[in-house]
Amino acid sequence: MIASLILVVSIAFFVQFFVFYTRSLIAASCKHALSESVREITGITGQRVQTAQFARLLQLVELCPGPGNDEMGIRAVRAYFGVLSLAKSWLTRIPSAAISKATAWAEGERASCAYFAATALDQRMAYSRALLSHGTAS
Amino acid sequence: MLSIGGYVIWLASFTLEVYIVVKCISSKTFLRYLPLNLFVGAMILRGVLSYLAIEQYGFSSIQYKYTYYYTDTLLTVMMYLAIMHLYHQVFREMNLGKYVHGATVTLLAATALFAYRVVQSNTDHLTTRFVVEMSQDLYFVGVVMTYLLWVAVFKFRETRTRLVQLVLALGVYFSGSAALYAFGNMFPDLHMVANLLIPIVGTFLPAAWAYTFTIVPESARLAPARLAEEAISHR
Repeated sequence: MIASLILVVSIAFFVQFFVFYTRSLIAASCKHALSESVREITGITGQRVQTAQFARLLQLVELCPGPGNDEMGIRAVRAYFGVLSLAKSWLTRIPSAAISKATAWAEGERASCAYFAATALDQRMAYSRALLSHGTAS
Repeated sequence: MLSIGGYVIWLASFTLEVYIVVKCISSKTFLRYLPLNLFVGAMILRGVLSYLAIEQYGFSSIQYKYTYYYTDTLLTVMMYLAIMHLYHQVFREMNLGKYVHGATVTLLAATALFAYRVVQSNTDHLTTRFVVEMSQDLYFVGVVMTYLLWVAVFKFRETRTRLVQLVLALGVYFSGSAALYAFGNMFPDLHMVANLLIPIVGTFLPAAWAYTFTIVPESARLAPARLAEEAISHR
């Protein structure tokens, strides 16, 4: 009885902490303005990044060498995006006004995840450029 | 012997834990985050002891299980100190430090008394099931403490991004661990699930803290209220 209570309460806390943790990573990236070069490569225009671009952005992130300190954040946001996509696919099957609001929220969160991926790509490209210019100089 | 996956998880955790300590020393923040570093140091020690127990007695041995669960219990007590340090950080500017110290001493005394009473009444059957149950309870206390800390961070509008992320990572780790221990306790036959997932959740905390200490500068600020907004606004 106590174990089942702890299990349920812990899962509820886990979901809440995980969502807040991932949002704290995303919120930090939202302050970052995307450079022209990353916009040119990915075709991003404006402040919003399309959710459909998330997978492609992550592929580009993996191709671009980085300092290796952003892996943890990328993995957490990838997991969050996966959970949101799953939730969205379930929610769209239920016709209700409240559900459509939740679906819109999930879509907004997914867009923020895509923006995070674009920021990660931008930072990795900047790192690669700095590495290249350092190599050329020496 | 551990599986290749088990070794990879163990090595990843161990490397990240050593990295955190080295990073804090090199950035001269070791003393500022002393209780957190002591906790990470205890994690490193637990990793070494677990590795030695596996090498000496094997992964399925009772010696390894007791080494793992009892060092885990000690680790949880160290974690309470780390949480109290974070409370101290949050309440520092409100001159509530002495109350936090008092609460720390009371909590440690209560934990010690609880553990003593439990062990005393179970000396005839200190089984693996018992240690799983004890870990589940201790982690759950950690979940509640971390949640209250998060509420304090939220209410008092704490804006230090590092602190916010350290607390949230702690919450993910404690709640994930408590859920897995409770699951293992409810379904002892499915202990393989918990055995597989507990080290993965255990790797999350050093990975998240390593990320915070590397990426997030000390001066970074973030309003926690933004995290509760319906949508995170861009710039």
